[in-house]
Amino acid sequence: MVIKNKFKKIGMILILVMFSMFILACSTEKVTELTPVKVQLKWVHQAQFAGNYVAQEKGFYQEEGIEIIELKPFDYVNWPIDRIENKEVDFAITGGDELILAKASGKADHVKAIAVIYKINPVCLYSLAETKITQPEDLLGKTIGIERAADGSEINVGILYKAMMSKLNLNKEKVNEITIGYGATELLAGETDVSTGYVINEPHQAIEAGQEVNIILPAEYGVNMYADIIIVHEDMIKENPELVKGFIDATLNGWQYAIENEKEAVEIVLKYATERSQSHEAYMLKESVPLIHTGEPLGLMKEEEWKNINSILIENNLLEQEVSLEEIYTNEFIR
Amino acid sequence: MKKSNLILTVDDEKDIRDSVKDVLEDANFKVETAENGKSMLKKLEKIKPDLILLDVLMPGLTTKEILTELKKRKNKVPIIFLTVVRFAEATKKDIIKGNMVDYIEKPFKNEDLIKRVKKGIKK
Amino acid sequence: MKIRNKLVIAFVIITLIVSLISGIVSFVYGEKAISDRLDSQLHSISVLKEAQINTFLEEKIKNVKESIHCILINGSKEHSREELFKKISDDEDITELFLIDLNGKVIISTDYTQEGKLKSQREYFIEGKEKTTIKAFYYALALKNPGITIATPLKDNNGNTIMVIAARIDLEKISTIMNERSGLGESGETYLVNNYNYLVSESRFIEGIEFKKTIHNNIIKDCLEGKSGFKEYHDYRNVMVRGHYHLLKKESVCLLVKLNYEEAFAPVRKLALTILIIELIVIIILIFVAILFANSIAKPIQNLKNAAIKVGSGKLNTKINQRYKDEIGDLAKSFSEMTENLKKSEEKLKDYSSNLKKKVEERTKELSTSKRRAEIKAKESERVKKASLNILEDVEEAREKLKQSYKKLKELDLLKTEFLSFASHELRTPLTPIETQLQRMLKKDLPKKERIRSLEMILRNTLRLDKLINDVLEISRIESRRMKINPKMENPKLVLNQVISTMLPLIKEKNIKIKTDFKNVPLKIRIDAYRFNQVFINLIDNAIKHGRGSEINISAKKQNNMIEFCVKDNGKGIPKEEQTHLFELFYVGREEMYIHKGAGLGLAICKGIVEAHGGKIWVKSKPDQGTTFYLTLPLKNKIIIKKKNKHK
Repeated sequence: MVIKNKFKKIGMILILVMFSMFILACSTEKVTELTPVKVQLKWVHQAQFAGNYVAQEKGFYQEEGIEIIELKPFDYVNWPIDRIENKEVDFAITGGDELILAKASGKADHVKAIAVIYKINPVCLYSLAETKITQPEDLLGKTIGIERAADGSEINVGILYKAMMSKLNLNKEKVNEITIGYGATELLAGETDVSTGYVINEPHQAIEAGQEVNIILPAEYGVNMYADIIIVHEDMIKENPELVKGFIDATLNGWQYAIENEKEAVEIVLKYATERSQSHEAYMLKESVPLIHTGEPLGLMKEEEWKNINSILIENNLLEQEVSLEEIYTNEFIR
Repeated sequence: MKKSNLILTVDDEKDIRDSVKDVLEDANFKVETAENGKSMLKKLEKIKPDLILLDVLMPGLTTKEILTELKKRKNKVPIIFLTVVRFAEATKKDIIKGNMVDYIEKPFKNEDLIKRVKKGIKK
Repeated sequence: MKIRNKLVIAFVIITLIVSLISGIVSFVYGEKAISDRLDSQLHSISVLKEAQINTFLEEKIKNVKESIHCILINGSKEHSREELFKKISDDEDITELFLIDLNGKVIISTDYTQEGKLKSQREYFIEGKEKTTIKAFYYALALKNPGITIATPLKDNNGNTIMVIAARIDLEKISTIMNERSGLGESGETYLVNNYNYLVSESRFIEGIEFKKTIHNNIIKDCLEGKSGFKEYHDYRNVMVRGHYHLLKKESVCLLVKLNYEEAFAPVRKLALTILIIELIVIIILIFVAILFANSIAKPIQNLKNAAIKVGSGKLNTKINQRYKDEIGDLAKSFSEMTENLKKSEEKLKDYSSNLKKKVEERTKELSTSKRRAEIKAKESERVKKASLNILEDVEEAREKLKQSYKKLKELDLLKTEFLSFASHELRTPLTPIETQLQRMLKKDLPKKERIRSLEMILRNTLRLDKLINDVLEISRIESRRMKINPKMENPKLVLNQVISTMLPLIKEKNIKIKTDFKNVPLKIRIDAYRFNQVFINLIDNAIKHGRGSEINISAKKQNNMIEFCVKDNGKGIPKEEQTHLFELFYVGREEMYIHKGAGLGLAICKGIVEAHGGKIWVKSKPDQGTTFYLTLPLKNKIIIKKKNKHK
């Protein structure tokens, strides 16, 4: 009897010890395992970054041991490339052309692209259906509204427009150019016959105003540049590759989930894009999917595409010399 | 110089141990003694005798147990039993032979002891 | 256990094992058959679908190739466009036909919005400049949807390509082919997965996931490597299925045909159930058969047993049924014969006894012919009876005595053997060093030290022999009850004190305290002082040897008409098993044998002496509480010395 009791006691103590150790392990695991990460987006909160929002809300980042403590939208003050170069943030989203130009002027020596989100550039030229501008040739003799930077310098929309016209050997001089703001206002007001925009965004403003639109996508006319890419400081690649891989995996999984579950993704986007409408964000996501999901693995970058960007920039006198591809990107984190 | 052989003498009577030791040392043997089976086995861990003289009636481990242990240890040292009673046929069958090569009855002639020890070592 | 039960159990176990094995074997075979049938079904569907897809695509390729011929190289744009429209209306699966120049620009298309676009980067254009090519299940930007494009070069008479004709094929048709599900039951499905793991055909169960859902598992991995086969896996709905996978090389897609595991193996479960039920029924039947069979064997044996019991208890008329022709029948037969013989013998005996009776009666009659003769004869027979009874009694007594003396002789023989062995060993042990040392001394001169040592050894052992002989003689005297004691009136206190003073050196050496306690001890008692000494020396010596060496208590007191002495030590005590044998001759307790090498004579001698005085000796001991030896000696009342002191 005494022996039995002894065994019981020992057994219970053992169980108690194991149980408390288990709890301790679990709790400590949660506390110590998450690495804080800061992210700088390319634009304001909208479905353009649906993958990131979904990854955050669905816990994909957490599964990789990452806690996103900052997910900042673009505010004209915090430039993604600068913030990465200065190590102010861990990851950022910027444009493929922006990265090459920054590298050419020595402002992004340590920045590297590790994934491409928008493989096909969403830059488009859109017009109201009645004007029947369906092909680039139809632009000749019309007024085009081009979105530019605050100081009047060309941004990607203008660059791609120019590149397309020269690719098709169309004389740009025969088109009347005016600078417009970011939106469909001028087009709807009739100030322009055709305006530049992102196919995922501005045309919908016209559609919501009850209009039908025609869209010309420079990407379909042989000029394409990678749009949204994820960048990171190269030191982080060396020092903390598991963190980088974790971030990429989670983000791409977020995009995959968004592609498969568009409706749910839109709901999640609305939590961040608090002042947007459901229909607008749904349109944006729907139009984004074919630009992101071209049938190949998400995020995978191709040499020819980067070469193309170099060529387009050089041909349009924005770049003097090719930027070496090794400095620009790496596919090592893409499955 | 001829090498001296080492004999291990085991008997529970001190006087007998000492006497056997005297006789063998007179004949230029080296002698170690033990007073029972247990201390004999312990001593065997340290020394390698050329022959063992073993009293068969000792308190503690029986002769059978001692021989079994030696077999386990793969100890092939020749053994000569020291007996008091005539080594009856029945007893011969009981005890596993082990490495026993001969037996001597107590009391013995000293010369006889020396002769048999010398013969026993050669086996 | 009863035979019947044994047989039943053995029978049941054998049949259980056999039926278990047969059940398992038939199940395994049945399962395999079903599985094989399923697999062949999956395979044939896969082959069919592949053929259908290939046929469809080949047809389209043919049509596109044919459409080349309608395009006049130098014809007008409108003409070409007309031809293209005609072709489209001919073949409803082609959704768009367009011509691409060598720079990749779409010059004419049935969808005019596509005209002017650059397809120079498109794979189908690049490959299509050389040969007819098909780009299947890829994401077409122009459609914003997955599509299939077939491209073929239009060559001039010299074989140089001047332009490429491309046709977009409606993916719906492929989906239709895949969705056609006859032969696949409720849960069956065929679908295609491209080389980027995208599901490219419609799913039967989830709407709208085509070209959105990616499927990553080992099956797809193996399939894309070109392997084909059958496997059980979890499909994209995470449901367990069995399916066939096969790579369509030309289109770089995996064709999968699958069926829900449950549905596929439902017949297997049914089979298992059927087999199980059959087995159970068989087992129940077999148990009954087993019981019957066992009974048929056990019953006759039992009958035989009962008959034997009856015969054994004297009912020799018991009959046995010998129905069976087997060994039991033979046994029964022999048994009956035996019983018969027994009966005959009994009858013979009865005859004999009745004869005897008759004879006796006759004799008695003869005896009673003359009264006097009869009376005398009767008296005589009485006497004879008595005498024979006496003789019988004497014979019995003599037999008893014989038995006793035989027993005694055996004991003595045993004792003799023990004694001889004891003597042999005990004598030879001291003799050995004596002889050895003497031989040595005679052989050569030893140095003085050694000589003295040898001589001491000889003397020591000689004394040992001496003691031994004395003890042995004592014993023999005790055993033959020839111990002579010389009792005189002695003062017990004085004698005890003498004993103590004799032992004092040893006591002092061992640092033992000795306490005496005499109460009511008469001044004089009748004892043999020498023997008395012997006893107490022995007891005290034992106390010194076995006590733990601190205290020995010797006390004496008058008890009725005895004087009781106690010798108490506080040693380890004597275990109970040894206490019973303590006073036996040659008995040595463990400690005595191993440590003190006693010969086992001391206490036997004490007992002999005490009993010769008419007293008793016994021991009381508890483990770790010491040992007390008690002995009593009678006070001879004949001579009583007046007690000087009145003690309580």
